[in-house]
Amino acid sequence: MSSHSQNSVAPLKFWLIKVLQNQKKRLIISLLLALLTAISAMGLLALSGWLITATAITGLAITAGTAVLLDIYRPGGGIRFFALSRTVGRYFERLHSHDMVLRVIAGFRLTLFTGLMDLPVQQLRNTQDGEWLSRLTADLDNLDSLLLKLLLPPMVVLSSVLLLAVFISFFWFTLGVTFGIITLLLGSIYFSFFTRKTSQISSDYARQINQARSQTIEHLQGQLELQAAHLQQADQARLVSSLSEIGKSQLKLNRHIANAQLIVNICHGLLVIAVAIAALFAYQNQLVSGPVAVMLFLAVFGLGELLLNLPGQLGLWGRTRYAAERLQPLAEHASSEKSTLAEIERLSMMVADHPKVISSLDTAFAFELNPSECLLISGRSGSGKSTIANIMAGLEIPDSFITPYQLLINGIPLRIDQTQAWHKQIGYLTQRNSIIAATLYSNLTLGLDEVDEQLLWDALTLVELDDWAKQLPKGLHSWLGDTGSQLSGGQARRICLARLLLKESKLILLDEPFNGIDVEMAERIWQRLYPQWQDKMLIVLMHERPAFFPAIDNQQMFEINLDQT
Amino acid sequence: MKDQQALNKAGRFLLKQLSQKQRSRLLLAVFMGVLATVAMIMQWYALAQLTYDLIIQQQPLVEQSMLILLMVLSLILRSVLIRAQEHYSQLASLQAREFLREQVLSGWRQTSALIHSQRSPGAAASQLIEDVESMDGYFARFWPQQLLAVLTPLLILIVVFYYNWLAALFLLVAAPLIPLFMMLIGWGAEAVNQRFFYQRQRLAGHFLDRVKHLTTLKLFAAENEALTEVEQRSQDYRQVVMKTLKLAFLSSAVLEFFTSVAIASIAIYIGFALFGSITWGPAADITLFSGLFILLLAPEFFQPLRNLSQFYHDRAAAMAAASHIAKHLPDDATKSPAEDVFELTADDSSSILIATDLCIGYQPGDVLQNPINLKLSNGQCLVINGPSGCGKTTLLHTLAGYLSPLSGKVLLNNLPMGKEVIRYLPQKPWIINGSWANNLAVLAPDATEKEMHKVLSQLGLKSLISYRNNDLDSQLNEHGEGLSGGQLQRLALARVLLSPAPLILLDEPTASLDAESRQYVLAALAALKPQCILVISSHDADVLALADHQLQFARRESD
Repeated sequence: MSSHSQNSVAPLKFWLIKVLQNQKKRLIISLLLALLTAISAMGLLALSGWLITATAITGLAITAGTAVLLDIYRPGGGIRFFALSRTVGRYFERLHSHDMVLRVIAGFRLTLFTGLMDLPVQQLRNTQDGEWLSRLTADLDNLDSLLLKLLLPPMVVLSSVLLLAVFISFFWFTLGVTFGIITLLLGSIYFSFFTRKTSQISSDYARQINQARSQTIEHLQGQLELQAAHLQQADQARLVSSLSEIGKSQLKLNRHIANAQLIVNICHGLLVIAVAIAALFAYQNQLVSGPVAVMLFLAVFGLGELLLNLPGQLGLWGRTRYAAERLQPLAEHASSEKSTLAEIERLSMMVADHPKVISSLDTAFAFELNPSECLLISGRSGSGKSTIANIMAGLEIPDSFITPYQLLINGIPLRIDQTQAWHKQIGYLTQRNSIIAATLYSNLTLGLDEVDEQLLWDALTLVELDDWAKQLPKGLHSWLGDTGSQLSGGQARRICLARLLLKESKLILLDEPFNGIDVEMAERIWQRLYPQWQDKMLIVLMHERPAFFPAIDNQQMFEINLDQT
Repeated sequence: MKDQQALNKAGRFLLKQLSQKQRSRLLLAVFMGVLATVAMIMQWYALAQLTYDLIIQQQPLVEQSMLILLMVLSLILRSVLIRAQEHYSQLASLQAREFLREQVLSGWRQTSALIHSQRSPGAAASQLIEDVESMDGYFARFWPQQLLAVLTPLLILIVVFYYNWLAALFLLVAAPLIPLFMMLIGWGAEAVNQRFFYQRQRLAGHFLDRVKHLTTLKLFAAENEALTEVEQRSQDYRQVVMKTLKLAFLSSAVLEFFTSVAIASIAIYIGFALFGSITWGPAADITLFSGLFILLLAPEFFQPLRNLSQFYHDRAAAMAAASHIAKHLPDDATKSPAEDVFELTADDSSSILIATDLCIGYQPGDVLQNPINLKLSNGQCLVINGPSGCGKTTLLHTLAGYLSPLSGKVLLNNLPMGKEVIRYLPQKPWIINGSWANNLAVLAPDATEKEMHKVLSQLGLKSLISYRNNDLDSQLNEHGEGLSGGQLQRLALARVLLSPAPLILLDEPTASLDAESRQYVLAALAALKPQCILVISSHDADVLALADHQLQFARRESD
């Protein structure tokens, strides 16, 4: 990767624009609250310094016998005000900015989800990959640094410096302007240099983490073979070197941040000293009064509090940019055009030389199906049944016409932009049970608007789950999925079958419909479901033809055996 | 809940153990931090003195070069010392994490491969990588700051006391409040972390669940439904989290308030004293120098505490990670792994495998098959046959030593299973992201290139690498994409041919293979047979032909 692309701010900008579109007002309020806090902190010290010096000078004058008037109550009140406004400002600033970040991340999540949904289903199939999923959440989490760490703090520092420069120039114009120019110059040099440096290391670091992670997963997946051969430790040696790379990069990044802190500390210290000397010089030349001189350098001293965390916050630049870059393509996917599809009357398919359908490597096969016909595709596991089912469901679509397989709806090949319309016509029971983390009701009525509960109970009765559902703590509204009621494989299978029953479909596609269900129950369920689907096209994929299946008559019932080559 | 407490305790113990090991470096970091405080005190001393000399004593600026020099030098010294503090704490953090990783890896070596295969490798990997990584802040920042939050204010207090005991008293009043602050911060942060974490996980869990089931959502045209749900969830989450944050931020606001009030009251007290309105106590001795000096030190008094409260989430993150890791660490992870203890007996040509009344299964009450009795010696082959789910793979796991027998005994060369080097070929071969040579060497480390070539041509794989230009260095990608299942199975067998062992276990080696691959696999099995004991689970008639013994497993009733 070229250094240019690694430092490009385009991905950060992409997400930032989304923030500005929706949360501009909140962003400004957060900034103002943060500024109020910063000014209060500086004001507290500056006013205190002014008071001490003024009272010291006046006190001495009074002791010397001169009658001098000094109102010490008003500055005292100012000090108390700043003390309070600093606390209150800080509290509300934190509250407000966190609320904003939560809103922003919620927006990002929605953008991302919309983007993912617009992706063609083919590209989505790797979403079952837990590794990819956890990276997605980690990246999303990393994006919240965008506002809290990368945008707001530098903006607060910048505006504080500007305000301070104006404040100083109110008393001594030259000093204020010089202070402003020098500070901003130092700040911008530092900012660009530091982000460039850390950006490189951060993305190296993120890459190394990913690499070490996939190596670790590899190592863990090889345990069966490695442990038998007593080679675990040898294989871990590979890992250890990747892990130490991570450590090195992380140390390098932290060193950069610490060095930046060193530079910031010295620069700030020198600024305080320089302003102090300049202000005291100005005092001796009667340009400003003594209390004002002290007030000016104490205000600069108060700036230090803001600078303290800046390097650490900006150190997240690279990591955030990396996350932003990875999420951008998923989020910006333009909504693809959706086309309509005529109602299906005839389905034809041919498969030849498909690498995942073993038998097609030797012999091609083809079939055609009309309503009220049932096709059984049998073959042992690994023979390519699910691949065929996915092709029929439009989850795998050839991107050209010269491909080993072809799916024709009414004689016309299915196009990628028609998949949404196609899904409305089919009911596909995938081999893997798909129970979403939601109530039983939501699981059954997925994609349906209003459903009479009686219909649900009817469907549950057909798959013999009515008794089970009745004894659930909240009946139809009991929670399922990871955090809810534990389902056995057979129960999950039957819920998926019931869900399919409730959906209007022209073509029913069942991949191993009775997985996890014992033979007797499978037969009972089949006897009840088969009549329901009699007028539709029905395709069943199973490892072997069950005894209770109707006989193959090649009129209404057909069979393709993938094992016979 | 109790489990969680035990885990937290284990996590705390682990952190304590790790910091104990890095104690000298961490203490060095603290020492540097204390020295930096001294430099800081010098710096503000010089500034206060300079101001006093110029404003009250009316001395010319040019005569003050010594004070200016002291100010600049102590500034540089302070910054460098802080840098040194970070240097040592970062080193300590690096070492602690490296040590912990070694412990995790050693724990993995002592865990049965079967347990590994039941755990999600992604989750385990994030323990080794992300969890350990998230402990950085604890060692690099939190631990040293814990001590500095006490030592730095103490040093400042002594100096302030020297100049004005009443101002020191102001700070001292705040000092007993420090533990209170810490508790408040601690509770706040803990509450945020626990509730926030839980809620966050639930939200992330929901989002991931919907992403995971996107295909289903699309198949059922439920996209909009899901989108509304994701939005609703995010809003609910925000409301719940904000409620918690309101409370949590209050605790740090208290700290902020005390800081501000202490500075304000010191400033006002000094101002009134200098003005002459307060005359009792040490007020008479106050000058602009001591007043300004104390004022400059007051924010520094509270800064370490503020830092500590900022680093508090580092502690919480490390605690969470540590209890995670501690859960999976064996009791004594430092013990050397079993593999070093036993001598290899590969040269012993007369291997013998004996099973007496062997009962296999995963749970004590659930024996999968009738007791097994068998005796196999070199050159013999056992084929296990039976319907799926009847325990074929379970027997292979038991023979590999990944699973203890429920009862009965099984010994290889009179040693319990797992002590001798054997070979295990699971149904799905293990492929790593690397070259062909890497893939072979990972299980046959001693094989030479020449041997690799020989074995690959024996298995009919030679053409695959020779028409890719890089020979053995040609890359195989992660899941072996581009290769058929049969070719991958042959690659796995190549490893065994390169480095045979007295016992070789194979799980369905010919299932779903194309005709060509089957022939090569069968030939390789025949070639291996004379040198070792083969135990194969298979339905294949051609594999059955190799068998000297056969175990027919019955269908299980309960399935």
